[in-house]
Amino acid sequence: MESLQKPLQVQNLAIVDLPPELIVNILSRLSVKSLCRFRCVSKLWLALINHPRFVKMHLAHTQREKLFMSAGDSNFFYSRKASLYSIDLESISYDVNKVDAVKIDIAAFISDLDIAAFELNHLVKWHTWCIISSSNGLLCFRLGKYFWLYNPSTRERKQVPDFNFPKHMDSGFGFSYVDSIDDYKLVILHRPGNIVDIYSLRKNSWTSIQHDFCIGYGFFRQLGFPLNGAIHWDSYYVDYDLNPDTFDRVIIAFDLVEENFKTLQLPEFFGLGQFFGLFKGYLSFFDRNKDTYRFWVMKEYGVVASWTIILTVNSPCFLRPLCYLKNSNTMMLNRDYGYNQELVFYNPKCLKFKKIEVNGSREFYVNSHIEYVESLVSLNYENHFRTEDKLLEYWF
Amino acid sequence: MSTPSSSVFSYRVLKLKSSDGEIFEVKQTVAVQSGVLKQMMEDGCTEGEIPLNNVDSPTLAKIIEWCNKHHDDDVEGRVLSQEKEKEKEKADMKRWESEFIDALNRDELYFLLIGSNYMNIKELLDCAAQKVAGMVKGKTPEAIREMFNIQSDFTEEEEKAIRKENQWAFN
Repeated sequence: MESLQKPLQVQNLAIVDLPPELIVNILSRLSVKSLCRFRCVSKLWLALINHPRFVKMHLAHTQREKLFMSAGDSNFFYSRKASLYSIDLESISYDVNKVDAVKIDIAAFISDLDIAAFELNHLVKWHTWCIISSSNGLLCFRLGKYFWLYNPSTRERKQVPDFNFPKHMDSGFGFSYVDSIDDYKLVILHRPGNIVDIYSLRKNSWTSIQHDFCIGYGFFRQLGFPLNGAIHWDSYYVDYDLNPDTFDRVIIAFDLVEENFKTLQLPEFFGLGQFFGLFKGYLSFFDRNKDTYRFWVMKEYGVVASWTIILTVNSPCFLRPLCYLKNSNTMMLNRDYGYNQELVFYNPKCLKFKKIEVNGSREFYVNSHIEYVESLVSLNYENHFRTEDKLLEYWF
Repeated sequence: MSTPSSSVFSYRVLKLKSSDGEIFEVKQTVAVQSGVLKQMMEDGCTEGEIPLNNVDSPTLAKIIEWCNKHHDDDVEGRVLSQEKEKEKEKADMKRWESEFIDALNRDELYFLLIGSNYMNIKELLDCAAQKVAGMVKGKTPEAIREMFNIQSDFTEEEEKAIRKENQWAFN
């Protein structure tokens, strides 16, 4: 009876069992997709793969970078039909001529959001998606007054509870992980009224704070970039009493732990210039003088004198940098001819642009984009602690 | 009783004893790649045979082969090679490493993982763990259970539910 129940294939079984620490080591090198599949191996494996400590180890070990985009073909402006795409940045380099962008099904993507169907149709028709930011593999989206968080690697999604926001357009947005309090925060900075609304993922609730930071600041770009536990906005300062017609550009930083503001100075730049978010972990900026584009990074956080030009590019067309490919020291940019747009690579070694086909098409317009890393980070904090202690003792 | 001078001299070679009793002599400059042996050398307790109870002789032979290959005797005496040469050396070493790891069967690989973990040889551990990670990545949960001697402790209903939740990862 016993032998019938267990048809052991002895030759297939390993003669040695690996200790838990080695299993942890091996699993921390795998893709999120494999790990989601391996949740089905046993309760022990499920407990490990869901555990925040393992999630952090995995995040530190496998920094697989991807690009998430709201984009479309060049008819984008007429059709207003942006689609969501994801590109695996690790699989491309300066040597490739085309890239595959995985199209994400928007209907499925928003199907379980708690928004009435007619309102959703209206929003999708008249608003374009806005990807606010990414942090540890979590993406924060906005559609009209709705916000939600999404982990594209695990496909987990969570709608941020509704909140009675002031009705105006003069707001800055930001989203980031805050290491010291192990929490994710979404921030909406309203210029009128000096109010900041802050959503905490851990508490799953909003709070509002009033501040006395100078009202003279406005946003050059609404989306802020996270670095060092603060969100950074490209903004300007107008002294309405003394000099109401001119403005100074500065970076406003909102500290997510202290919940207060400071300002950082930009380099001496040409023209309007633009904030380019993070480049190799530094705050970065680019400006244009005639046909010359310059890329700056702030090598030492908060030190104005440390702004350094790391790249100069010549182009008669309008350029918008999208991301940086570490493996081949290449910039990926959107090039705009006025009548069409395309993706190009630029490598400082070769000193020339290279046109890139996206899914077989030459024309591609990127409306908004965000870089993220693959991660197992869960959007539900209660998930983090549902496992029995004895299962965890086995692993750690 | 050894004289002080002879004991200093004998430190230049370590005598490693595998779990099945075989003795391997390894130069100190090679053995230093093991975090455990390095610590013992710093503490001055490497005289006599050093028992490695978790490492059998075929595995220890493999580990020593790896360490010998990764140790550069003349590193100080040699003129720094050109950038190109360095890159070639690096590529050659990568090729040697993958051939070394690929030649092992699964049990040999597991023993090597355990041995390098026990002796704390980071590069070898990384290389072996990466190899196993490559072997498991495309597998089904059933194949994983077989590979790591795991009995599923899910009830039928639980397994159904957890599979449904993660169904997308099976495609």
